[in-house]
Amino acid sequence: MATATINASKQTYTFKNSTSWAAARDSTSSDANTDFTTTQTDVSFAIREGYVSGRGGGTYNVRRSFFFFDTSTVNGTITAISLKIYGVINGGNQVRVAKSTAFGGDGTSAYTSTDFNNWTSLNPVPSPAEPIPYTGQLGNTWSINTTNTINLNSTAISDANTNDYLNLVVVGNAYDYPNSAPETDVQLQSGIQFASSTTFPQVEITYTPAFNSIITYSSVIGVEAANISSINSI
Amino acid sequence: MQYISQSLTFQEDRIYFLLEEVEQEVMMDWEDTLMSASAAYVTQNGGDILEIGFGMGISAGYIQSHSISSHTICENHPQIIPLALEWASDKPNVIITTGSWYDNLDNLSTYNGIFHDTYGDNHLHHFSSSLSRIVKPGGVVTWWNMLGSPENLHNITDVEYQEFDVTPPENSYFNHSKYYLPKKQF
Repeated sequence: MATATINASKQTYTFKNSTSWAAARDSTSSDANTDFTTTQTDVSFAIREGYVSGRGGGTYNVRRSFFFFDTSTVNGTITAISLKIYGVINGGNQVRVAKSTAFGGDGTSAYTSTDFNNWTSLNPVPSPAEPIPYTGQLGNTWSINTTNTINLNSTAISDANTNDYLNLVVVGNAYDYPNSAPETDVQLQSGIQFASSTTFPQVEITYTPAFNSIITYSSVIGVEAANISSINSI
Repeated sequence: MQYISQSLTFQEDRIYFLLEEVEQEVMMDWEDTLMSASAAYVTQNGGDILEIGFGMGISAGYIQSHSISSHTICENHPQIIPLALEWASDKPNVIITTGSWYDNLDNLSTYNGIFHDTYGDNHLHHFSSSLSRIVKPGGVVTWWNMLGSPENLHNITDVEYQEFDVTPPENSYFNHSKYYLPKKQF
């Protein structure tokens, strides 16, 4: 077994506010998004789900964070993946990691507004109606001022092996993931330190190294140098 | 944030509270015309009127100016309840019901006119489904329409809207140039 640590090549948080839960949670576009590269930035409400009542109605808030990892440098079969994200500011709620098709699906594009709901299978259509979980647990507790380590499931492992990338979204587990509209005033949120110098958003990958089909020997005990080429051609 | 836990500040032109040092207006006197029109609509048939949310008492005053039989007011904020009780003390046809309108649903009667105007209402999603329980046949209902458009959050069908030009000062709850007063007759 070998391990590799791969930093996120794309990291974005985005949000949608609306007066109806469906219009916020299932929106085909976000109100705004922020992409991060190398500058460490604390975002208090990187993941959020909630409702704030007001005069005559209220506002539903949905915030999600998308990450893309290029796993093509892993030379072997991936057997385990842990997602590591540094948590800040707020905590207390649980998050869920799901498969995403943002960033053009294969990471060739930057996040666009219409990626907001691209976190499930493409069949029949991309929408969060049928999320594909990337964790086996029903929810992961979010800790602050430390690195949150979330073990991804066999679906994520299979996708990384097949696609040579991992495209995921981290969402709230109380309302957003299960599509359950909050009925009273509530704000559940998790903060992320994007591009953290402590723990850059990353996946820790465990893999079985591939057997190199072509091995070139420069010396073989008991074999004359002139005959090494014969061994290398076997 | 639970609205009824907020400490309200009462000024002549507004009621507000501070949330993370930002003023959150609950009600302001620029709404006077809208409160007058809302009161006129729900009292057009006279009879028994239910007003959910007392606030600054603007609409209550207008409702009282019309010919009605009774005027039931639901109010849940602990700082506003005493003001409503004091206001009602010389009005024999007024009944003040304290607490959430939804929690009091079984204690309410049926009404010819209903005006719903609340803040931080955790039971708002029950509003439309509760109407059949408390509206008399032929009764009329209106509510505060926060949207600034002729649509409603409550999925109530066959609603007509009366358009008003408004110029509210910047505030935390309504910043549109048009107000669409909902009118629903049962």
